[in-house]
This record gives sequence, structure tokens and C-alpha cells, in this order.
Amino acid sequence: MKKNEDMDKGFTELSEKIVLTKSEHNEILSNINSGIDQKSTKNISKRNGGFPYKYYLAVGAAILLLVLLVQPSFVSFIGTSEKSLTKEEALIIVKEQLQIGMTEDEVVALFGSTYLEIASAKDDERMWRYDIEPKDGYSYESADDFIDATAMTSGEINMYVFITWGDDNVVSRFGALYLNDEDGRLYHYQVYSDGDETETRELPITSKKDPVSITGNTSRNSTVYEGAEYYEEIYTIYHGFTRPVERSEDGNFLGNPRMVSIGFSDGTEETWEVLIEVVLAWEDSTFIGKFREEDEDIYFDLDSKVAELLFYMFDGYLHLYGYDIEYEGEDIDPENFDYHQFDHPEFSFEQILIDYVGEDVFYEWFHSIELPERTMTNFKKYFDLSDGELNKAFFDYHKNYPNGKPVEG
Amino acid sequence: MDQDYIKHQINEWYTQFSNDIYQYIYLMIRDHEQAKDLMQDTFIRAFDKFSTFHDENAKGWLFRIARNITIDYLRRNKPIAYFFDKAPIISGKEGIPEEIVSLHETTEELYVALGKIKTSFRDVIILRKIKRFSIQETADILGWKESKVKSTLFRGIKELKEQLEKEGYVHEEK
Repeated sequence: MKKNEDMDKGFTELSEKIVLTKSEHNEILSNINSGIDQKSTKNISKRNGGFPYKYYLAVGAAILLLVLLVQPSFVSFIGTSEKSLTKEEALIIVKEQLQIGMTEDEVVALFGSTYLEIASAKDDERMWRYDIEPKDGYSYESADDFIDATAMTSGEINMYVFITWGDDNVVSRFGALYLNDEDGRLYHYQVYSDGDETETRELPITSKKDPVSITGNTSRNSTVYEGAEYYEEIYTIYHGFTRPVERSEDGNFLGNPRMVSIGFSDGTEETWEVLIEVVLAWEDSTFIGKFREEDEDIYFDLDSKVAELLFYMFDGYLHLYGYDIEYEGEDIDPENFDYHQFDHPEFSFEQILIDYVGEDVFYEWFHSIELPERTMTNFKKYFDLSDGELNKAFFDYHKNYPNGKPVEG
Repeated sequence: MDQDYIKHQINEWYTQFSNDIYQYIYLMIRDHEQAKDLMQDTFIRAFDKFSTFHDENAKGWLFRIARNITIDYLRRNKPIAYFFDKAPIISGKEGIPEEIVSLHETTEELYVALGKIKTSFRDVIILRKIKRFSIQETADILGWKESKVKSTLFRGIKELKEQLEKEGYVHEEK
């Protein structure tokens, strides 16, 4: 491909060549019409199903009339704005009663009118957040669809329910994040606009102070996901980490960009900066690790470990997918960043090595010297380790944990 | 509103825009069968949400729905890739419609490179360069400001070229 015109020709050809066959079109159109016919004639209940619309309406109206006649206090129940739902009650409502297409009044009837009006960080969709079972005095104010992960793990709040409103002011999506008492983990239940449901167990946030062993993760406590402390963790992993430097076209140093687009769970921009920088690092990284299968214990190579941590920090919590990196409101051209030190083997230590020499002595050495000296060469020198010994450490590790090291605790 | 009328309208739109919408979804997710399913969902969703359609640009309105459905799909199925704004690596032409197999070499290069750039870049390039939407229409579909469409397109094309270079396809004329 030699010229821009070739690219334009390519775009045109893509537009012309990517087409469906006539039979595929016929099949799809037939499916669409069947879907429409079903919607037109059958029930309105997508999730429960089997309940005829007209019958539902008629019975509902009759019951309402009856209740209104014999029990006037029902009116006050409908209008009750304050509800103190337990996590269990709220979860049942979310899973069995809340539905796509509900109106604001219907949602208020289920959860009350004590909600926080927020907007999704990604699409700026209008949302409501209900805090379920907050401890006295607890409050977490965020204009975005963030959660206070720290408060969840410490039990200050037991559940968040998120309602997303569509253009027509009916529920277009909803979900709940809650701590499962049985395994102490955060779960994320979501219902999408087409009625599909998913429930994921979010690793490795736990309510317990369990150690989480992940390759390259130098932090072994549950505060790993707390904003400021996360900074230290990342800093430690990539201790050769330099903040991305913005440069002019002729290579002159312009300064360290300040990412101001959004805050993290605890609202500190400092935390967000670090996360963004890791993402920038990722831009130049290669996926060499593996992703966690469902219910699989986690143990990741350095690169994918970073991906994993960020994934669990963001997915389902912060909804930051696809966020553009911005600098004072302007998109940043990744080209202008110098992040050559990210992932540099000389500056990266996998947890296997840290475990091998012992975490305490590792950090004793680590913190006793300046950043530039924290190299693999100096590490080997200080601990008197040969390459052969290090290779053996890796070999033994993988032999002992062929499927990755289980999460402890 | 009369359901038959809406159904008729949806059918008409299908005839007019289904290929465009399929192309968009397919190029975003690179899965022929799934793209067909998502397109089907798009038109059924359009039926559901017909009351929100107010004599606007029907194609743009349908594309907005298609995009929401596609993004929802990506969210659910490729969360990490989506978060990092990277497409799954497309190494060749596997799993693609028959018609694409006959692409010219240069277009094939472009197709592969397009699959490797950031989702947001791919999104805007497909809409502007392949589907030929105007900047205003693209901004409406994406829910972005026009300035963002322009700057993202600029950067996207740049990255696309770099990707082509990386693959050894581009030999800049000095």
C-alpha cells in the first residue's frame, strides 16, 4: 500500500465487498419479523415470560382497585420514598422484579426515592445509584458510576444497585455489585438492554485480608485496590517506571502530563494518573499472559497481571472502557509519550523472584537504594544469584504450579 | 402507533440499510455470525424503540442503536480487549464472509491493520471512511463532539498507517 489513494480505494472496496448473501438477508429479515410478531402479540415480560400482557394488566388493575378500596394504607406504601432494604431483599428485587423498560415510578416503588443521580463515566448515560445497607454516617458521592470498593470490602456498604435510564426514560440496563458473605467476594450481577443477564465473581477483591498472589504483584494485602496504595504497588512492580513524558514534535521535553479526565474510586486524581500511566505502558506491551477462566485461580505473568488488576479495578466498577486519555481536555497523542522504560526486563521483578529471596529482604534491599539502582543486575549481585539459579526458581515454580499459583487464604 | 406500520417501516429500513449496518458491526467485531445476530438485534431493538424516533436521519438513528448493541457485546465478551481499547489480534482472514476472501492485496492489508488499531479509532474510521458519514452524523452516532471526531479520525488514520508500516505493507515514497 503505497499511497493515501490506495487506502481510500481499500475503504471503498471493504464497503463493497462486505455484504451478506441474499439467503442470509432473507433469513435475518425473517427472524426480525418473527421477533417483532412475538413482541407484538405475546407477553411484555421479557424475563419472567409466560404471562399474557392483557391478562397481566387486567389482573393488576383489579388487584390494585381491590387494595385501594379495602386498604387505603397501600397508597402510602406505593408512595413511600424511604426504604431500608437488606442486601438479600435488594438482590431478590434486582433479580426477580426489576425489569428493563420500567419507569422511574416503578423503580421508586421497588427501591424508594433515596438514590443518587449519576452519569455513566463512559457514555454519560443518566443513572441512579442506590446504596443498600450503608452503615450510619456512610456516604460516597461520585457523579459517575463508580463504587467505593474500600467501603465494600470493609463492610461500610453492602451493595450498590445501578439503574441506567434510556432515551425514553425507562430502565435500559441495571446491575448490582455486592459482597457475597459465603466467599467474601464481590459479585457483579448485570442485566443488559436486551434482557441478557450475567453474574460475575470479581476477583480478587475480598472482604477478608487474604493475600493475593499474582506474579509481579508486589502487594499482598487487600488494599491493593485502594487508590493511593495501588500507586505504591504499581510503582513497585515497575520501579523503573517513569511518568510518560510529553514531548514536542522535535523531541523537546514539554513536561509530565497531568491526566485530569477522571478520578478513581477514592476520588484522588493522583490514583487515576498512575492507572492511566499503566495503560499507556500497555500500549507498548504485548499480551504474554493468560486470562482467568471462570472460577480459575489467578496467577499471571507480569504483563497480563497488570491487565488483570486493571480489569478488576475497572470492569463492573468504574465502567471506564474505551476512555480516551486526555490532557487538560485535549486528547493526548500516545506518540508524544516516552515510556520506553515500561516493562523493561532490567527494571521488572516478577513475584517469583521476590518470593525466592523472601519478600522482607527483597524490600529491605529495594527501599535502601535509589530508583535507577533497582535493576535486575543489582538484584542478582546483592543476593548473589546466578542466572542458572533464577532460571531454576522459575522452573521449580512452574513445575509446582502448572496451572498457576492458587489464591491463598 | 400501529404495530403493522412500524413493522413495515422496519422492513423498509432493513432493505435500505442492512448491508451498511452489517458492515459496521462486522468490522467492529470481526465475527460474521455474531455480526448477523447483532444486526438482527438492531432491527428488533429499533422496533422496540420506534417511539423515540422523530423524523430524524433514520440511518444515523439505526447506526446509533447498532453501535450501542455492538459496544454492549464488546463489553460483555471482550472486556479486557475493550478496556485496553485494542481489538483482538486479527492475523488473517479467518471467520470472515466469503466475499472478503477475494479482496485485493492492498485492501486485505488494510482490513488486517484496521483490526489491530484501537476500538475508538476503528469506530470512527469505519463510520467516516467506509460508511461515509459526515462529521456531524458521525458525531451524532458516537455521541461525541465534532472536534473529537476530527481529532480521533486524524489520529486513527495515523495509527492505521503506522500499523500498515509495522506489518511491512507501506513503503513511503520519499
